[in-house]
Amino acid sequence: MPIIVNLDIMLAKRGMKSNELAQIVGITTANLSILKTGKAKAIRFSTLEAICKALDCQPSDILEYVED
Amino acid sequence: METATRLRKFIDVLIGLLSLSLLVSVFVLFYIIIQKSTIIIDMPERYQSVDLFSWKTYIILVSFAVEYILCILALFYMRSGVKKLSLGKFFTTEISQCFLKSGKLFVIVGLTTIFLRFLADLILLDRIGIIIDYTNISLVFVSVVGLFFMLFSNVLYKGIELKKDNDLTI
Repeated sequence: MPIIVNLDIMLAKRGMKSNELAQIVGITTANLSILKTGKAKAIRFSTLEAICKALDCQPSDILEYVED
Repeated sequence: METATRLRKFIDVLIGLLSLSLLVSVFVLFYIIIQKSTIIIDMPERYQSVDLFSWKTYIILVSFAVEYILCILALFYMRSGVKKLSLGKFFTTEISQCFLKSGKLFVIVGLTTIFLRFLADLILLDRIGIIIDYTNISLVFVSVVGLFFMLFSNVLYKGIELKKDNDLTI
């Protein structure tokens, strides 16, 4: 998929674990895993906002476009 | 899903009546074949002159029996789909497949039975003609219902795809 989610990098930078982020954002760890592994079809703005707030970052820090 | 439960019960009754009717007809037919010299058969006026003990008649009767069985099978698939709907499982491929199979069978039954009636007249009565009667119109309606089920199956399938996308929307 052309959109890559760099959550692992941001989590490592902030020293946060996946389940902690999932709890703060209000999604399940399973859904967070789907997002991290690139299997997600879409992300809601509200979820993206919550992730950026939790990780203190910009959407571009998490989402990257790579042409196929 | 009370409506689905009620519909399932109606379909059960219909399947039961059709199956019973088929069994009784097959039994009576075999009885007639065995007792052919002593049975007086009350036939519809149109078929009074037909020789009931010829191979042509048997072929036509067997063909109609096969159509009957296909109709019962179509109702059975419809029942399976309705049962799953009554359990609240709307967006599964099994339901879509049930209605697709049921639809295809209803279309086959509708159209081929009309053709069989035409063929029966041709083979048994040496007559070519298109009969526009209540039965043939009902059979066209059966085909229309079959096509609707196939369309419904496609719609359900689209719903399944949308649900998958929604489930993968974080």
